[in-house]
Amino acid sequence: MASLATYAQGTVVNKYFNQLADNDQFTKVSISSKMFSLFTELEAGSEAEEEFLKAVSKLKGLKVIASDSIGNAAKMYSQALKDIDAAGYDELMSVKDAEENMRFSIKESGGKIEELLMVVGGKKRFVLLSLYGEIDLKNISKIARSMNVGGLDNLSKIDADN
Amino acid sequence: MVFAIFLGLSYRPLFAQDTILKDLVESKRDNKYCFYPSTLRMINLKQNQAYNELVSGVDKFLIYTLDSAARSDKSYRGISEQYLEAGFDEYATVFGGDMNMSILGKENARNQEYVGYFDQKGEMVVAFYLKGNIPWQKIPTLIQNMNEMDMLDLFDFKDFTF
Repeated sequence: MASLATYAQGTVVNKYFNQLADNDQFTKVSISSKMFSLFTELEAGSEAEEEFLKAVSKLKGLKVIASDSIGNAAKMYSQALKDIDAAGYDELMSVKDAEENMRFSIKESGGKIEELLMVVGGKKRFVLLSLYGEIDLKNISKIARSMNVGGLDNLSKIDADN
Repeated sequence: MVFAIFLGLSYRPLFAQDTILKDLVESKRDNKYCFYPSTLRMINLKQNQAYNELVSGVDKFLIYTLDSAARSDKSYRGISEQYLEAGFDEYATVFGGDMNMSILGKENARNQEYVGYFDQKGEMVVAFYLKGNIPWQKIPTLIQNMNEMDMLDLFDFKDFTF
């Protein structure tokens, strides 16, 4: 059962990684749990920092595919949403403005969020991000800020609502 | 005879696997820096004891800055491919944007090897290989200490965004 859950993680992002592997228009980022484990060596200066470091150390990986110079960004965004829905992710939040659309989706198992997906679609910009492991929504916006990934900062709105 | 072959094969991974890196970049480098425990201690002008203890586990630390030919043909990207084939794990990869990098590692209880490259907008490419008994979690401390010594500015990377 556990192996099945693990196998299911990252299905959508892995599909896009494979499809776009040789496409230089897209930046591909893959960060393993080894990188997140570096946070375990840091000394927390406060209780909030300790909670943050603990949350980061539970992350297992991050994958990002991004481009800001493609002509079919809107089409890719629509297709990604279809793929995400078909893969059984639950919608967490959507953000729409004149410039671009954004959707956050999650995959839960046993009451814990094990994957967070962010899709961004603009006129020429497309981003697909997958963060997986044990995800704590309380600290997710802090994690997002520390990763310096545009769009993830919208997750602070989730914090405000919870 | 069979035993001898088996011994030969099983002993092979214990040899330093820096030859893969050397084959790829030795002829396409501007500078090469070779550090061993003694030289790593030598640059510790402030005699930071914690640093000295940290580097005592290092067998060798090789750093190359690559020449314009390597930066142009991007042959250093073969580092990740060839080390993956040699049984290394991928720790982090960024590919296709302004900053390209790859970090791989192979660890066991007594010995660790880390290898990779950093390419910042094609302006400077640094390849490295580190072998010794130095836990992955201690690598940032090592790099930070080396940077603080103002000896090398090679790992002072700018943030990257998507």
